[in-house]
Amino acid sequence: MISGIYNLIDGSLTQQLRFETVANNMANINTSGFKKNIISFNQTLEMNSISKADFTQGPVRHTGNELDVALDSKGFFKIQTGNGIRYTRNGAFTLDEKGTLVTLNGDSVLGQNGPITIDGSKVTIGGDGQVQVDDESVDRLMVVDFENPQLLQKEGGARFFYSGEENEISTVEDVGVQQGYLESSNVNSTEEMVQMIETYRAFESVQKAIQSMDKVTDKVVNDYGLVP
Amino acid sequence: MLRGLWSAASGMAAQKLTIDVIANNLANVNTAGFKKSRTDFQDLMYQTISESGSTTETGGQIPVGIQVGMGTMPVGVHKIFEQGDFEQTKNELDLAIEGKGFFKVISNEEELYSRAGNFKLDADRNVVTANGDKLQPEMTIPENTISITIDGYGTVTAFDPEGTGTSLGVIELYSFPNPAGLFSQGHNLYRATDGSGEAVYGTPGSDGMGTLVQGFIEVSNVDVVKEMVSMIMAQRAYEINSKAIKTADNMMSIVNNISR
Repeated sequence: MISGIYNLIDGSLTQQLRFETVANNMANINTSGFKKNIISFNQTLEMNSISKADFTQGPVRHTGNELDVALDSKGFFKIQTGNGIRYTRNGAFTLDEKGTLVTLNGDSVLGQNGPITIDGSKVTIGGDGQVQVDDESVDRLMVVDFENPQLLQKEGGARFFYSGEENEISTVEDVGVQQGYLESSNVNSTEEMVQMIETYRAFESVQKAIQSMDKVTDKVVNDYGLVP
Repeated sequence: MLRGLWSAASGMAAQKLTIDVIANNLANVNTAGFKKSRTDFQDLMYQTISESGSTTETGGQIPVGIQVGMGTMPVGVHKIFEQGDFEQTKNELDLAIEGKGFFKVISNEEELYSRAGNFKLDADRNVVTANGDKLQPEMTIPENTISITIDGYGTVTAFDPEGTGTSLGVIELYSFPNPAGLFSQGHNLYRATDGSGEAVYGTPGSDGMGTLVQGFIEVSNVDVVKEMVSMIMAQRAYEINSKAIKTADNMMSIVNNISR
């Protein structure tokens, strides 16, 4: 058979993957702390494309809730889940029944001295991540950064898992924490729409190319072979 | 099938939920003691197509893998117990809590909690909520009372026509380790759950409970402008996800038409 057709199938599968990535970005346009994925390919339209999380800062929006914190610096909050340490930029925190600071999935948010317990009426979280309850300092939010952020794997729930070495993780010193704010998703609807249209048309062209290949094959098989 | 189709569908479902919550917030913009809710979303799990750090056939290392997400899901609709504004009513049985406490009432023999301080008297001169549920501890106003004062610390004093005051007791307040975990019962009432933790008893003015203000009610903490902005955002997000579904549909139709 004509080998070109396989390249084209690869191409359409790649476009499909790209579309799926765009669709996931769009679905998470209002997910706090979400980081969009970008798919890029090498020229030959092969399947060895890469999908990178784009860690640019999302817009920070005011919520007024004292347990909402947004990071407007680099870094990630460190959280303790049932499966081990994970990282997130979604600062929509709450308390559990014991007064421990947790994410909305119930995973405890770690400070410099482990989980943070809030027992009191007034919580202030300073710009440096210092947590104060009734004007008494309790702990400082642990904000960490990575030597190679591309080794962060998405796990869902706005959580990331670091697949690199432990010594590549460092504590961020000049953190910027804003209390009463949340970092919105960094998905830009215009960009995604353009991406989607582009993907769709590319997909369409590939399918047209497959059809012409098929026509060529048709000619070869049915017309050339004819004895006049 | 196209994964993107389901991702987009999850996005539409999520935005629909947001609109539901916003509509309820807006409907309660004038409800005394009402606390607004907010939907929070998370990305769903990811399918890993190629893992970063794994070895390629030529012996190199894949620097960045491919992960495709499966859309979004709501992770919680949570009440925001931000203080609402105070509205002066001059009604002597209207109480606003300036702080984190809750009143306790008995409704249908169940202990429930409320922030709505628009109390009334029933036929037996008991202090009750607008639904007729008795405030705890129960308080009966003597018959010949012409005025009632309630101070910031919850002490209720009834005055008779001669101007003699009788103390009727102290209004109690309760707080929760995690108020966002309370179960909303409707009628401005909340029920303690495992998530909220046990109610902690206190008197007004004590540790974190807040003080009482007589003659005021706490109005809803819904901010109309903010809700409108959220509504626009949710609607546009809904729209963009519907476009993704349409595109997925067209892509599948192209595939179906490949062979004549």
